[in-house]
Amino acid sequence: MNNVYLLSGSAETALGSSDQGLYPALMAGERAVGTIDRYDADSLSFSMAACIPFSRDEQQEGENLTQTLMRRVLNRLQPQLPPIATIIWAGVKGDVEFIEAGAWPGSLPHLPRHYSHWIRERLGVTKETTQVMEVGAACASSTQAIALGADLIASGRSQSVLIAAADIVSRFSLTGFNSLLALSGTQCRPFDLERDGLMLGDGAVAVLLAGEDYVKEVGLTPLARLTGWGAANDANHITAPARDGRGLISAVFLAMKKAGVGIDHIGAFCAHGTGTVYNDAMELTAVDAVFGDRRFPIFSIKGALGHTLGAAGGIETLVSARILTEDDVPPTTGFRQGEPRTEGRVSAEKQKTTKKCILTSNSGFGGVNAALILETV
Amino acid sequence: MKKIYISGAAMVTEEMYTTLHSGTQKIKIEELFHVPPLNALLGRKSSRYGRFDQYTRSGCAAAGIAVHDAGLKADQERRIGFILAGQMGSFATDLAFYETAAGNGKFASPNLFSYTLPNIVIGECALQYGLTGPTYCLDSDDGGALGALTEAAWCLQENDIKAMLAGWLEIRPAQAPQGDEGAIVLVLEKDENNTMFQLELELDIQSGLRFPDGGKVDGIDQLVRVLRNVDVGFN
Repeated sequence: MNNVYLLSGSAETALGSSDQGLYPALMAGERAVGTIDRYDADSLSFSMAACIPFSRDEQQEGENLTQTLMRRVLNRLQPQLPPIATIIWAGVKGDVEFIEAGAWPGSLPHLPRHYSHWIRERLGVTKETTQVMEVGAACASSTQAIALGADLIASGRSQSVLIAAADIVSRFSLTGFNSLLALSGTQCRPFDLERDGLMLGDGAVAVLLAGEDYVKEVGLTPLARLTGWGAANDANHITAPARDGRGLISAVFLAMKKAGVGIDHIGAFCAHGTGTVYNDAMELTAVDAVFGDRRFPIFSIKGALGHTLGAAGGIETLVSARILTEDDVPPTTGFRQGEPRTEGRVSAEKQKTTKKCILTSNSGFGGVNAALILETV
Repeated sequence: MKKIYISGAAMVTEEMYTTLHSGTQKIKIEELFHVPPLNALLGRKSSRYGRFDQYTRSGCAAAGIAVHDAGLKADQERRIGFILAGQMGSFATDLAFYETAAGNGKFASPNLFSYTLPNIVIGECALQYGLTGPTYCLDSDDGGALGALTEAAWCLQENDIKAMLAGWLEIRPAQAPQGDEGAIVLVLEKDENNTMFQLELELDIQSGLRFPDGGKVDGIDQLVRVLRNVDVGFN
């Protein structure tokens, strides 16, 4: 099996970009939340979210916000990279801007959720050198896509895989999550005793995975090694997680088995941590099942920059890779007081980890769970 | 080189369904969930089908019939997964949901919103048929669901995977250009079953999925055509 490296990546969030601002803001416990002003949200019963500021002037003709945010990310990727062999798009609601505008995309070159073709064009490569794929796995989409990319590289079917995803705070998603009573009415507080829901956030991310040969050709030092990945379905409910955490437990064990690591190797866990009652309870149950009574840093960044849907896993993968080099684990913004299971794990202050191995996972509608393990190079 | 066996198949359209082993039944999709043996197969959770959108109904029916056709049972030791292709995904349901979200959004339908992702149909199949393996939607350049088919075949190489479903599902909104609609689901296994007909395929890194005579598999449609030419009922 070939080694898989996280070679580079870039993210755009309401708390800043991964190149500037995001990591220090996370460490400082900052929170990006404001009133939505990109559409008339006043009439909605809930109008707070973590939106990325943008100007209509920066948008290219025919471009929507999803594409604008994605273009910012792509522009920051290494411009001199050799052709990437595979592009996987993992955004989940790319069609909402067309729907909200009342437009039928039939005259557009690609169907609205199919941005992989657009990215291929932006990167100036063609079908002859670069294949495209689209993964749909709800809020675990980019995590699942990274797992697929890792499979492609590990098996020798691809030497480089770019996973890209972007999702915005749309009226569609806001009214939808509100209809499910999933939005926080106060402040998103992952793992807190008084947590009452999630906050939506804009997010765009690109993560480049590569095999050994591509890494040597590029001559860059990878951010991390991706040593483990696993995916499993709860087979329980389409919108609620399995209360016993069975799917997440299975995904984490699969990832650990592939990485060849035990529970004592994991230095920190970047959890999905949406701030909903059931998701966070499920994750704590899974943590107990996998790690027993072991205490180690567990955190969520969604109280700080919101739930970025399909982009969440990619953004959290980049944050996790940064932690491997810095040894500081960000605070869980919004967290005040947790139940006993969070003691010695979740904190409102930043924490230290000395182990060079980090677990990150996401779960989503449809019962999906995906877990990744990153290690220092 | 790895051996792959297609042990069950279902093709569902608005008017009929066809299986690999039991032939064709003419029946409207909306009646499908009330008819044995499907009712017996799908069992106690049949109350959920009334809330399905057409996308989920078609996909869930095709997956259920294919699982039944293959005689596939979930077990504790080895998992079953599902990878599904389709260009439109849940777009028709997305449009229907957004109509309910007009005005102040207070009447936005939580039931419809729950189905506004293309992988929800897989989630429904997972809870009906005990699928706990990798479950996601996948489209690729190749078209014809070849990406989903190929990845399902690769997933099958993991020791803990017993079988994979691979499929294509398309339901078009009224505004969409005309094109194929319906669902096809194949059951892929790595173990040969001597008591039932299975279509044998081979898998390797260089040429992907191919027939034993060396011919390349170019999509799920082609496999259906091949299966239709085999005298075991898929016609």
